[in-house]
Amino acid sequence: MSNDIEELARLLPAPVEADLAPDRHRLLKEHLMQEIQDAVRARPRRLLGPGWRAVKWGLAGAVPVVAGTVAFVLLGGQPTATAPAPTARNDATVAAPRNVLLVAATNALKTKSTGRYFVTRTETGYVFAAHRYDVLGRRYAEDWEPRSGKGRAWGVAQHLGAAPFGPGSQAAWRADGSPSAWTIPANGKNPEPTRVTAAAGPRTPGGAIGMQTRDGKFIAVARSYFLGGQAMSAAALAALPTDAAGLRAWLTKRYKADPDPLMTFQDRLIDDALHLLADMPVTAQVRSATYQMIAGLDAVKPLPDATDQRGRTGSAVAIPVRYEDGVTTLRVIFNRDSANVLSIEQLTAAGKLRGYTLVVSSGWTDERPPAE
Amino acid sequence: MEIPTREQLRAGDPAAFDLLFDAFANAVHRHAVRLTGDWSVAEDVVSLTFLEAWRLRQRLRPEGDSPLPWLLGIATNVHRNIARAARRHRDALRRLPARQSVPDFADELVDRMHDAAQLAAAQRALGRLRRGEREVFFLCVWSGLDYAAAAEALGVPVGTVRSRLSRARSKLRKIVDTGEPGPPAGQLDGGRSSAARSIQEKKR
Repeated sequence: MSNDIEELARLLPAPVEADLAPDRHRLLKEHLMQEIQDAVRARPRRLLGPGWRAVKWGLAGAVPVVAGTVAFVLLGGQPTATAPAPTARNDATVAAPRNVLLVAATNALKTKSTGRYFVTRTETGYVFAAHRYDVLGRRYAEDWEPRSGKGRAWGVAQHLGAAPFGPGSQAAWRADGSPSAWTIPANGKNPEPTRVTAAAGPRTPGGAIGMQTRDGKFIAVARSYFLGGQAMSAAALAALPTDAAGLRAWLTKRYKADPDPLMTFQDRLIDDALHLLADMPVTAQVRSATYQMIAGLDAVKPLPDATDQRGRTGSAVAIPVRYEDGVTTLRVIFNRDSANVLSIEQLTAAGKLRGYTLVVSSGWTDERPPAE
Repeated sequence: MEIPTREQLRAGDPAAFDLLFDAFANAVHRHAVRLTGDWSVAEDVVSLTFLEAWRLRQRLRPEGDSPLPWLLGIATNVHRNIARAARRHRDALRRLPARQSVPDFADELVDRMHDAAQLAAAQRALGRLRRGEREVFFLCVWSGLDYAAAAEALGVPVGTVRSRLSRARSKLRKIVDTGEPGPPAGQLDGGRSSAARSIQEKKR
Protein backbone atom coordinates (compact mmCIF):
# COMPACT_ATOMS: atom_id res chain seq x y z
CA MET A 1 0.00 0.00 0.00
CA SER A 2 2.68 2.37 0.97
CA ASN A 3 5.17 2.97 -1.81
CA ASP A 4 4.37 6.61 -1.40
CA ILE A 5 4.78 6.50 2.37
CA GLU A 6 8.07 4.61 2.17
CA GLU A 7 9.57 6.93 -0.38
CA LEU A 8 8.38 10.01 1.49
CA ALA A 9 9.92 8.66 4.69
CA ARG A 10 13.23 8.31 2.85
CA LEU A 11 12.96 11.77 1.30
CA LEU A 12 12.18 13.47 4.59
CA PRO A 13 12.93 11.34 7.65
CA ALA A 14 11.04 12.27 10.82
CA PRO A 15 13.34 14.82 12.39
CA VAL A 16 12.74 14.42 16.13
CA GLU A 17 11.18 12.13 18.64
CA ALA A 18 10.11 14.91 20.96
CA ASP A 19 8.55 13.37 24.02
CA LEU A 20 7.07 15.57 26.68
CA ALA A 21 9.42 16.03 29.61
CA PRO A 22 8.15 13.86 32.49
CA ASP A 23 7.31 16.84 34.69
CA ARG A 24 5.44 18.54 31.86
CA HIS A 25 3.59 15.33 31.14
CA ARG A 26 2.49 15.16 34.76
CA LEU A 27 1.52 18.84 34.97
CA LEU A 28 -0.40 18.83 31.70
CA LYS A 29 -2.23 15.69 32.71
CA GLU A 30 -3.14 17.11 36.11
CA HIS A 31 -4.41 20.21 34.37
CA LEU A 32 -6.54 18.19 31.96
CA MET A 33 -7.96 16.02 34.72
CA GLN A 34 -8.74 19.06 36.80
CA GLU A 35 -10.66 20.62 33.93
CA ILE A 36 -12.55 17.38 33.33
CA GLN A 37 -13.28 16.86 37.00
CA ASP A 38 -14.43 20.43 37.19
CA ALA A 39 -16.89 19.87 34.38
CA VAL A 40 -18.08 16.59 35.84
CA ARG A 41 -18.47 18.05 39.32
CA ALA A 42 -20.23 21.11 38.01
CA ARG A 43 -22.92 19.06 36.29
CA PRO A 44 -24.46 17.14 39.17
CA ARG A 45 -24.02 19.99 41.64
CA ARG A 46 -24.56 17.42 44.40
CA LEU A 47 -28.26 17.71 43.73
CA LEU A 48 -29.26 14.46 42.26
CA GLY A 49 -30.05 11.02 43.54
CA PRO A 50 -28.24 7.81 42.69
CA GLY A 51 -28.15 8.82 39.06
CA TRP A 52 -25.93 11.71 39.94
CA ARG A 53 -24.41 11.69 36.52
CA ALA A 54 -27.72 12.66 35.02
CA VAL A 55 -27.57 16.13 33.58
CA LYS A 56 -31.19 16.83 33.91
CA TRP A 57 -33.52 17.67 36.69
CA GLY A 58 -34.21 14.40 38.24
CA LEU A 59 -33.62 10.80 38.45
CA ALA A 60 -31.30 8.26 36.99
CA GLY A 61 -31.67 7.83 33.28
CA ALA A 62 -33.76 10.90 32.81
CA VAL A 63 -32.31 11.77 29.46
CA PRO A 64 -34.25 13.39 26.68
CA VAL A 65 -34.47 11.46 23.46
CA VAL A 66 -32.50 12.70 20.51
CA ALA A 67 -33.64 15.90 18.87
CA GLY A 68 -36.25 15.45 16.21
CA THR A 69 -38.69 13.33 18.15
CA VAL A 70 -39.55 16.17 20.45
CA ALA A 71 -42.96 17.51 19.73
CA PHE A 72 -42.74 21.12 20.71
CA VAL A 73 -41.60 23.89 18.47
CA LEU A 74 -38.37 25.77 18.78
CA LEU A 75 -38.85 29.39 19.50
CA GLY A 76 -38.83 32.22 17.06
CA GLY A 77 -37.64 35.71 18.02
CA GLN A 78 -40.08 37.78 20.10
CA PRO A 79 -37.86 38.97 22.91
CA THR A 80 -39.83 39.37 26.08
CA ALA A 81 -37.57 41.72 27.94
CA THR A 82 -39.62 44.70 26.92
CA ALA A 83 -42.98 43.22 27.94
CA PRO A 84 -44.48 45.42 30.63
CA ALA A 85 -44.34 43.76 34.02
CA PRO A 86 -47.68 43.64 35.82
CA THR A 87 -48.02 44.83 39.35
CA ALA A 88 -46.22 42.70 41.82
CA ARG A 89 -49.27 40.92 43.11
CA ASN A 90 -51.69 38.74 41.23
CA ASP A 91 -54.42 36.93 43.11
CA ALA A 92 -55.95 34.90 40.30
CA THR A 93 -55.80 31.21 41.15
CA VAL A 94 -54.87 30.20 37.63
CA ALA A 95 -53.21 33.17 36.07
CA ALA A 96 -51.74 33.13 32.60
CA PRO A 97 -48.21 31.74 33.07
CA ARG A 98 -46.75 34.84 31.55
CA ASN A 99 -48.37 36.95 34.20
CA VAL A 100 -47.41 34.76 37.13
CA LEU A 101 -43.85 34.43 35.89
CA LEU A 102 -43.58 38.17 35.31
CA VAL A 103 -44.85 38.81 38.82
CA ALA A 104 -42.05 36.57 40.06
CA ALA A 105 -39.64 38.39 37.74
CA THR A 106 -40.56 41.69 39.35
CA ASN A 107 -40.32 40.31 42.85
CA ALA A 108 -37.01 38.61 42.09
CA LEU A 109 -35.47 42.07 41.90
CA LYS A 110 -36.06 42.44 45.64
CA THR A 111 -34.11 39.32 46.58
CA LYS A 112 -30.85 39.59 48.44
CA SER A 113 -27.76 39.04 46.38
CA THR A 114 -25.12 39.85 48.95
CA GLY A 115 -23.70 37.70 51.67
CA ARG A 116 -20.71 35.68 52.72
CA TYR A 117 -22.02 32.35 51.50
CA PHE A 118 -24.31 31.03 48.84
CA VAL A 119 -26.23 28.16 50.41
CA THR A 120 -28.47 25.63 48.73
CA ARG A 121 -30.49 22.95 50.52
CA THR A 122 -32.31 20.49 48.32
CA GLU A 123 -34.19 17.26 48.60
CA THR A 124 -34.24 15.01 45.58
CA GLY A 125 -36.86 12.33 45.12
CA TYR A 126 -36.54 9.57 42.54
CA VAL A 127 -39.02 6.87 41.69
CA PHE A 128 -37.75 3.54 40.43
CA ALA A 129 -39.38 0.24 39.61
CA ALA A 130 -38.77 -2.67 41.97
CA HIS A 131 -40.41 -5.93 40.90
CA ARG A 132 -44.13 -5.14 40.67
CA TYR A 133 -44.22 -1.83 42.47
CA ASP A 134 -42.53 1.55 42.55
CA VAL A 135 -40.17 2.84 45.24
CA LEU A 136 -39.48 6.47 46.09
CA GLY A 137 -35.95 7.21 47.28
CA ARG A 138 -35.07 10.55 48.81
CA ARG A 139 -31.79 12.35 49.24
CA TYR A 140 -30.79 15.55 50.98
CA ALA A 141 -27.94 17.80 49.96
CA GLU A 142 -26.67 21.03 51.41
CA ASP A 143 -23.95 23.14 49.94
CA TRP A 144 -22.11 26.20 51.25
CA GLU A 145 -19.95 28.07 48.80
CA PRO A 146 -17.98 31.10 49.95
CA ARG A 147 -18.37 34.22 47.84
CA SER A 148 -15.42 34.69 45.49
CA GLY A 149 -14.14 31.23 46.29
CA LYS A 150 -12.31 32.40 49.43
CA GLY A 151 -13.12 30.76 52.71
CA ARG A 152 -14.18 27.30 53.70
CA ALA A 153 -16.54 25.45 51.39
CA TRP A 154 -18.76 22.94 53.09
CA GLY A 155 -21.45 20.52 52.15
CA VAL A 156 -23.41 17.59 53.46
CA ALA A 157 -25.32 14.82 51.76
CA GLN A 158 -27.65 12.24 53.21
CA HIS A 159 -29.76 9.40 51.96
CA LEU A 160 -33.15 10.06 53.57
CA GLY A 161 -34.51 6.57 53.00
CA ALA A 162 -36.82 4.89 50.54
CA ALA A 163 -40.31 3.46 50.63
CA PRO A 164 -42.90 1.82 48.36
CA PHE A 165 -44.64 4.53 46.40
CA GLY A 166 -48.01 4.78 44.72
CA PRO A 167 -51.35 3.01 44.96
CA GLY A 168 -51.12 -0.67 45.86
CA SER A 169 -47.37 -0.51 46.33
CA GLN A 170 -47.51 -1.34 50.07
CA ALA A 171 -49.38 -4.59 49.42
CA ALA A 172 -47.06 -5.50 46.53
CA TRP A 173 -44.05 -4.79 48.74
CA ARG A 174 -45.39 -7.11 51.47
CA ALA A 175 -46.12 -9.76 48.87
CA ASP A 176 -42.51 -9.39 47.78
CA GLY A 177 -41.30 -10.29 51.31
CA SER A 178 -41.02 -6.71 52.62
CA PRO A 179 -37.44 -6.14 51.45
CA SER A 180 -35.48 -3.44 53.28
CA ALA A 181 -33.29 -2.60 50.29
CA TRP A 182 -33.52 -2.51 46.50
CA THR A 183 -31.02 -2.39 43.67
CA ILE A 184 -31.33 -0.01 40.74
CA PRO A 185 -29.60 -1.79 37.86
CA ALA A 186 -26.82 -0.16 35.88
CA ASN A 187 -27.92 1.70 32.81
CA GLY A 188 -26.59 4.30 30.45
CA LYS A 189 -26.48 6.96 33.12
CA ASN A 190 -25.78 4.79 36.14
CA PRO A 191 -22.52 3.07 35.41
CA GLU A 192 -22.86 0.83 38.44
CA PRO A 193 -25.85 -0.82 40.07
CA THR A 194 -27.01 1.29 42.97
CA ARG A 195 -28.28 -0.20 46.22
CA VAL A 196 -30.96 1.83 47.95
CA THR A 197 -31.96 1.06 51.54
CA ALA A 198 -35.31 1.73 53.17
CA ALA A 199 -33.48 3.16 56.17
CA ALA A 200 -31.89 6.58 56.04
CA GLY A 201 -28.12 6.76 55.78
CA PRO A 202 -25.60 8.80 57.73
CA ARG A 203 -25.00 12.47 57.05
CA THR A 204 -21.84 12.70 54.99
CA PRO A 205 -20.13 16.04 55.30
CA GLY A 206 -17.74 17.21 52.61
CA GLY A 207 -15.35 20.07 52.29
CA ALA A 208 -13.73 21.66 49.31
CA ILE A 209 -14.38 20.29 45.87
CA GLY A 210 -11.35 18.88 44.24
CA MET A 211 -9.83 15.91 42.60
CA GLN A 212 -7.60 13.14 43.70
CA THR A 213 -4.66 12.57 41.42
CA ARG A 214 -3.26 9.09 40.93
CA ASP A 215 -0.39 9.72 43.29
CA GLY A 216 -2.83 10.61 46.04
CA LYS A 217 -2.50 14.37 45.90
CA PHE A 218 -5.67 16.41 46.41
CA ILE A 219 -6.12 19.45 44.20
CA ALA A 220 -8.80 21.78 45.45
CA VAL A 221 -10.67 23.61 42.74
CA ALA A 222 -12.99 26.54 43.02
CA ARG A 223 -16.59 25.51 42.60
CA SER A 224 -17.89 25.97 39.12
CA TYR A 225 -21.38 25.93 37.72
CA PHE A 226 -22.48 24.24 34.55
CA LEU A 227 -24.27 26.73 32.36
CA GLY A 228 -24.59 26.99 28.61
CA GLY A 229 -22.61 23.82 28.13
CA GLN A 230 -19.57 24.96 30.07
CA ALA A 231 -18.27 25.13 33.59
CA MET A 232 -18.34 28.68 34.87
CA SER A 233 -16.85 30.26 37.94
CA ALA A 234 -19.02 32.27 40.30
CA ALA A 235 -17.23 35.37 39.03
CA ALA A 236 -18.19 34.53 35.45
CA LEU A 237 -21.81 34.08 36.53
CA ALA A 238 -21.72 37.58 37.96
CA ALA A 239 -21.03 38.92 34.46
CA LEU A 240 -24.11 37.36 32.84
CA PRO A 241 -26.48 39.65 30.92
CA THR A 242 -29.16 41.09 33.18
CA ASP A 243 -32.02 41.32 30.69
CA ALA A 244 -34.06 38.46 29.25
CA ALA A 245 -33.17 39.04 25.60
CA GLY A 246 -29.49 39.39 26.40
CA LEU A 247 -29.47 36.29 28.58
CA ARG A 248 -31.22 34.26 25.92
CA ALA A 249 -28.83 35.49 23.26
CA TRP A 250 -25.87 34.64 25.49
CA LEU A 251 -27.12 31.11 26.08
CA THR A 252 -27.98 30.62 22.40
CA LYS A 253 -24.45 31.57 21.46
CA ARG A 254 -23.06 29.09 23.98
CA TYR A 255 -25.20 26.27 22.62
CA LYS A 256 -24.00 26.95 19.10
CA ALA A 257 -20.40 26.97 20.26
CA ASP A 258 -20.82 23.74 22.20
CA PRO A 259 -23.47 21.55 20.60
CA ASP A 260 -25.04 18.81 22.70
CA PRO A 261 -26.40 16.00 20.54
CA LEU A 262 -28.61 14.73 23.35
CA MET A 263 -30.59 17.87 24.06
CA THR A 264 -32.75 20.19 22.02
CA PHE A 265 -32.32 23.93 22.16
CA GLN A 266 -35.38 24.34 24.34
CA ASP A 267 -34.37 21.49 26.66
CA ARG A 268 -31.07 23.21 27.25
CA LEU A 269 -32.62 26.62 27.71
CA ILE A 270 -35.09 25.30 30.28
CA ASP A 271 -32.50 23.23 32.10
CA ASP A 272 -30.17 26.19 32.39
CA ALA A 273 -32.98 28.58 33.33
CA LEU A 274 -34.18 26.34 36.15
CA HIS A 275 -30.68 25.99 37.53
CA LEU A 276 -30.20 29.76 37.37
CA LEU A 277 -33.34 30.14 39.48
CA ALA A 278 -32.84 27.25 41.84
CA ASP A 279 -29.20 26.81 42.71
CA MET A 280 -26.84 29.29 41.12
CA PRO A 281 -25.29 32.31 42.81
CA VAL A 282 -26.53 34.93 40.36
CA THR A 283 -27.71 38.45 40.97
CA ALA A 284 -31.32 39.46 41.54
CA GLN A 285 -31.29 41.03 38.06
CA VAL A 286 -30.27 37.76 36.44
CA ARG A 287 -32.95 35.84 38.34
CA SER A 288 -35.52 38.38 37.23
CA ALA A 289 -34.32 38.12 33.62
CA THR A 290 -34.54 34.33 33.86
CA TYR A 291 -38.18 34.44 34.96
CA GLN A 292 -38.89 36.78 32.06
CA MET A 293 -37.08 34.47 29.67
CA ILE A 294 -39.21 31.49 30.77
CA ALA A 295 -42.33 33.67 30.50
CA GLY A 296 -41.42 34.19 26.86
CA LEU A 297 -41.57 30.49 26.02
CA ASP A 298 -44.82 29.60 24.27
CA ALA A 299 -44.51 25.99 25.40
CA VAL A 300 -44.89 26.98 29.06
CA LYS A 301 -48.48 26.39 30.19
CA PRO A 302 -50.39 27.55 33.28
CA LEU A 303 -51.38 25.15 36.04
CA PRO A 304 -53.52 25.65 39.13
CA ASP A 305 -51.64 26.52 42.29
CA ALA A 306 -49.93 23.38 43.52
CA THR A 307 -48.53 21.92 46.73
CA ASP A 308 -45.06 20.40 46.73
CA GLN A 309 -43.88 17.27 48.57
CA ARG A 310 -43.14 19.38 51.65
CA GLY A 311 -46.66 20.78 51.75
CA ARG A 312 -45.70 24.22 50.47
CA THR A 313 -48.18 25.81 48.07
CA GLY A 314 -47.20 28.04 45.18
CA SER A 315 -47.88 29.07 41.61
CA ALA A 316 -47.21 26.39 39.04
CA VAL A 317 -46.43 26.07 35.37
CA ALA A 318 -45.95 23.05 33.12
CA ILE A 319 -42.99 22.78 30.78
CA PRO A 320 -43.03 20.02 28.15
CA VAL A 321 -40.00 17.73 27.97
CA ARG A 322 -39.43 14.27 26.58
CA TYR A 323 -37.29 12.00 28.74
CA GLU A 324 -36.46 8.37 28.12
CA ASP A 325 -38.44 7.04 31.06
CA GLY A 326 -41.74 8.53 29.99
CA VAL A 327 -41.47 11.90 31.71
CA THR A 328 -43.28 14.43 29.53
CA THR A 329 -43.72 17.39 31.81
CA LEU A 330 -41.79 19.37 34.37
CA ARG A 331 -44.14 20.95 36.87
CA VAL A 332 -42.37 23.94 38.36
CA ILE A 333 -43.86 25.22 41.61
CA PHE A 334 -42.66 28.61 42.75
CA ASN A 335 -43.55 31.31 45.20
CA ARG A 336 -44.39 34.34 43.12
CA ASP A 337 -43.97 36.72 46.05
CA SER A 338 -40.50 35.63 47.09
CA ALA A 339 -39.57 34.48 43.55
CA ASN A 340 -38.20 31.27 45.05
CA VAL A 341 -38.51 28.01 43.19
CA LEU A 342 -40.08 25.47 45.54
CA SER A 343 -40.06 22.28 43.54
CA ILE A 344 -39.36 20.90 40.09
CA GLU A 345 -41.39 17.75 39.55
CA GLN A 346 -41.17 15.23 36.73
CA LEU A 347 -44.50 13.88 35.59
CA THR A 348 -45.48 11.27 33.04
CA ALA A 349 -48.18 11.82 30.45
CA ALA A 350 -50.59 10.14 32.89
CA GLY A 351 -49.61 12.64 35.58
CA LYS A 352 -47.59 10.18 37.66
CA LEU A 353 -44.69 11.59 39.67
CA ARG A 354 -41.34 10.12 38.57
CA GLY A 355 -39.07 12.38 40.59
CA TYR A 356 -38.60 15.84 41.99
CA THR A 357 -36.10 18.33 43.28
CA LEU A 358 -37.34 20.28 46.26
CA VAL A 359 -35.49 23.51 46.82
CA VAL A 360 -35.62 23.72 50.59
CA SER A 361 -33.72 26.98 50.45
CA SER A 362 -31.35 28.71 48.10
CA GLY A 363 -29.72 32.08 48.56
CA TRP A 364 -27.08 34.26 50.14
CA THR A 365 -26.36 34.42 53.84
CA ASP A 366 -23.85 36.03 56.17
CA GLU A 367 -23.86 32.97 58.40
CA ARG A 368 -20.98 30.56 58.39
CA PRO A 369 -21.17 26.85 57.63
CA PRO A 370 -21.58 24.53 60.62
CA ALA A 371 -18.41 23.12 62.10
CA GLU A 372 -17.89 19.57 60.97
CA MET B 1 0.01 0.42 28.45
CA GLU B 2 -3.71 0.44 29.05
CA ILE B 3 -5.86 1.99 26.33
CA PRO B 4 -9.37 3.16 27.18
CA THR B 5 -12.24 1.86 25.08
CA ARG B 6 -14.18 4.10 22.75
CA GLU B 7 -17.25 3.39 24.82
CA GLN B 8 -15.57 4.66 28.01
CA LEU B 9 -14.38 7.78 26.22
CA ARG B 10 -17.78 8.46 24.72
CA ALA B 11 -19.39 8.03 28.14
CA GLY B 12 -17.12 10.77 29.51
CA ASP B 13 -15.48 8.59 32.13
CA PRO B 14 -12.71 10.76 33.63
CA ALA B 15 -10.55 7.71 34.34
CA ALA B 16 -10.65 6.87 30.63
CA PHE B 17 -9.24 10.30 29.79
CA ASP B 18 -6.53 9.79 32.40
CA LEU B 19 -5.52 6.61 30.56
CA LEU B 20 -5.88 8.31 27.19
CA PHE B 21 -3.43 11.01 28.19
CA ASP B 22 -0.88 8.52 29.49
CA ALA B 23 -1.18 6.40 26.37
CA PHE B 24 -1.07 9.09 23.71
CA ALA B 25 0.22 12.42 25.06
CA ASN B 26 3.66 11.73 23.62
CA ALA B 27 2.32 10.72 20.21
CA VAL B 28 0.21 13.88 20.12
CA HIS B 29 3.18 15.92 21.29
CA ARG B 30 5.47 14.58 18.59
CA HIS B 31 2.81 15.29 16.00
CA ALA B 32 2.34 18.79 17.42
CA VAL B 33 6.09 19.55 17.41
CA ARG B 34 6.25 18.59 13.76
CA LEU B 35 3.15 20.59 12.90
CA THR B 36 4.24 23.72 14.70
CA GLY B 37 8.01 23.46 14.72
CA ASP B 38 7.84 25.04 18.16
CA TRP B 39 8.08 23.14 21.42
CA SER B 40 6.15 25.60 23.53
CA VAL B 41 3.29 25.94 21.07
CA ALA B 42 3.29 22.17 20.76
CA GLU B 43 2.51 21.88 24.47
CA ASP B 44 -0.48 24.16 23.99
CA VAL B 45 -1.61 22.01 21.09
CA VAL B 46 -1.35 18.93 23.32
CA SER B 47 -3.48 20.51 26.04
CA LEU B 48 -6.01 21.88 23.59
CA THR B 49 -6.20 18.54 21.80
CA PHE B 50 -7.15 16.67 24.96
CA LEU B 51 -9.56 19.40 26.05
CA GLU B 52 -11.18 19.19 22.62
CA ALA B 53 -11.25 15.40 22.86
CA TRP B 54 -13.18 15.74 26.10
CA ARG B 55 -15.57 18.27 24.57
CA LEU B 56 -16.11 16.25 21.41
CA ARG B 57 -16.12 12.82 23.04
CA GLN B 58 -19.56 11.96 21.77
CA ARG B 59 -18.43 12.46 18.18
CA LEU B 60 -15.89 9.66 18.53
CA ARG B 61 -17.21 6.84 16.38
CA PRO B 62 -18.27 3.93 18.60
CA GLU B 63 -16.59 1.34 16.42
CA GLY B 64 -12.91 1.18 15.61
CA ASP B 65 -9.58 0.35 17.19
CA SER B 66 -7.12 2.79 18.66
CA PRO B 67 -8.40 6.30 19.32
CA LEU B 68 -5.03 7.69 18.17
CA PRO B 69 -6.19 8.67 14.65
CA TRP B 70 -9.09 10.56 16.21
CA LEU B 71 -6.70 12.40 18.55
CA LEU B 72 -4.26 13.27 15.79
CA GLY B 73 -7.15 14.53 13.69
CA ILE B 74 -8.20 16.79 16.56
CA ALA B 75 -4.61 17.97 16.96
CA THR B 76 -4.52 18.77 13.24
CA ASN B 77 -7.72 20.80 13.54
CA VAL B 78 -6.44 22.58 16.62
CA HIS B 79 -3.29 23.52 14.75
CA ARG B 80 -5.30 24.71 11.74
CA ASN B 81 -7.09 27.22 13.90
CA ILE B 82 -5.35 27.40 17.23
CA ALA B 83 -6.83 30.81 17.98
CA ARG B 84 -10.35 29.40 17.83
CA ALA B 85 -9.45 26.46 20.05
CA ALA B 86 -7.72 28.81 22.47
CA ARG B 87 -10.78 31.04 22.64
CA ARG B 88 -13.00 28.06 23.28
CA HIS B 89 -10.82 26.88 26.17
CA ARG B 90 -9.69 30.29 27.33
CA ASP B 91 -10.44 29.71 30.98
CA ALA B 92 -8.72 26.35 30.94
CA LEU B 93 -5.64 27.80 29.27
CA ARG B 94 -5.41 30.43 31.95
CA ARG B 95 -5.03 27.66 34.47
CA LEU B 96 -2.39 25.86 32.42
CA PRO B 97 0.80 25.45 34.45
CA ALA B 98 3.38 27.96 33.30
CA ARG B 99 6.21 26.66 31.15
CA GLN B 100 9.80 26.75 32.15
CA SER B 101 11.40 28.99 29.60
CA VAL B 102 14.79 27.25 29.74
CA PRO B 103 15.33 23.49 29.83
CA ASP B 104 17.00 22.19 32.95
CA PHE B 105 20.16 20.95 31.31
CA ALA B 106 22.39 22.65 28.80
CA ASP B 107 22.77 19.37 26.88
CA GLU B 108 19.06 19.24 26.34
CA LEU B 109 19.11 22.80 25.09
CA VAL B 110 21.82 21.99 22.55
CA ASP B 111 19.86 18.92 21.43
CA ARG B 112 16.80 20.99 21.01
CA MET B 113 18.56 23.60 18.94
CA HIS B 114 19.89 20.88 16.70
CA ASP B 115 16.46 19.29 16.45
CA ALA B 116 14.92 22.66 15.73
CA ALA B 117 17.35 23.34 12.89
CA GLN B 118 16.66 19.93 11.40
CA LEU B 119 12.94 20.44 11.74
CA ALA B 120 13.13 23.90 10.23
CA ALA B 121 14.93 22.48 7.19
CA ALA B 122 12.29 19.81 6.75
CA GLN B 123 9.54 22.35 7.17
CA ARG B 124 11.02 24.55 4.46
CA ALA B 125 10.56 21.68 2.09
CA LEU B 126 7.10 20.91 3.41
CA GLY B 127 6.19 24.56 2.96
CA ARG B 128 5.97 23.82 -0.76
CA LEU B 129 3.07 21.47 -0.22
CA ARG B 130 -0.57 22.43 0.05
CA ARG B 131 -1.97 22.30 3.56
CA GLY B 132 -3.99 19.15 2.88
CA GLU B 133 -0.95 17.39 1.44
CA ARG B 134 1.19 18.46 4.37
CA GLU B 135 -1.37 17.19 6.91
CA VAL B 136 -1.54 13.81 5.25
CA PHE B 137 2.24 13.74 5.15
CA PHE B 138 2.51 14.38 8.89
CA LEU B 139 -0.08 11.74 9.74
CA CYS B 140 1.05 8.97 7.40
CA VAL B 141 4.76 9.47 7.11
CA TRP B 142 5.85 10.90 10.42
CA SER B 143 3.11 9.66 12.76
CA GLY B 144 2.77 6.26 11.11
CA LEU B 145 -0.97 6.15 10.41
CA ASP B 146 -2.14 4.04 7.49
CA TYR B 147 -4.42 5.44 4.79
CA ALA B 148 -7.62 4.42 6.54
CA ALA B 149 -6.53 5.85 9.91
CA ALA B 150 -5.45 9.13 8.31
CA ALA B 151 -8.80 9.27 6.53
CA GLU B 152 -10.57 8.83 9.87
CA ALA B 153 -8.37 11.48 11.46
CA LEU B 154 -9.08 14.07 8.79
CA GLY B 155 -12.63 13.06 8.02
CA VAL B 156 -11.88 12.62 4.31
CA PRO B 157 -12.22 9.61 2.00
CA VAL B 158 -9.33 7.16 1.80
CA GLY B 159 -8.91 8.03 -1.88
CA THR B 160 -8.24 11.63 -0.95
CA VAL B 161 -5.49 10.58 1.46
CA ARG B 162 -3.97 8.44 -1.28
CA SER B 163 -3.99 11.15 -3.91
CA ARG B 164 -2.67 13.81 -1.55
CA LEU B 165 0.23 11.58 -0.57
CA SER B 166 0.96 10.84 -4.17
CA ARG B 167 1.10 14.53 -5.00
CA ALA B 168 3.26 15.15 -1.93
CA ARG B 169 5.68 12.51 -3.19
CA SER B 170 5.99 14.07 -6.66
CA LYS B 171 6.54 17.53 -5.25
CA LEU B 172 9.05 16.51 -2.60
CA ARG B 173 10.96 14.33 -5.03
CA LYS B 174 11.35 17.35 -7.28
CA ILE B 175 12.44 19.58 -4.39
CA VAL B 176 14.98 17.07 -3.08
CA ASP B 177 16.29 16.36 -6.59
CA THR B 178 16.78 20.00 -7.46
CA GLY B 179 17.78 21.19 -4.00
CA GLU B 180 15.31 23.99 -4.51
CA PRO B 181 14.87 25.99 -1.30
CA GLY B 182 11.44 26.56 0.13
CA PRO B 183 10.10 29.59 1.93
CA PRO B 184 11.51 30.32 5.38
CA ALA B 185 10.20 28.01 8.07
CA GLY B 186 8.66 30.86 9.97
CA GLN B 187 6.08 31.33 7.27
CA LEU B 188 4.73 27.85 7.56
CA ASP B 189 1.21 28.48 8.81
CA GLY B 190 2.71 31.62 10.23
CA GLY B 191 0.85 33.72 12.73
CA ARG B 192 -1.64 31.10 13.76
CA SER B 193 -0.12 30.48 17.12
CA SER B 194 0.29 34.08 18.12
CA ALA B 195 -3.36 34.59 19.00
CA ALA B 196 -3.34 31.73 21.48
CA ARG B 197 -0.16 33.02 22.95
CA SER B 198 -1.40 36.51 23.56
CA ILE B 199 -4.53 35.24 25.26
CA GLN B 200 -2.48 33.21 27.69
CA GLU B 201 0.27 35.69 28.25
CA LYS B 202 -2.15 38.12 29.86
CA LYS B 203 -2.67 35.79 32.76
CA ARG B 204 0.81 34.45 33.10
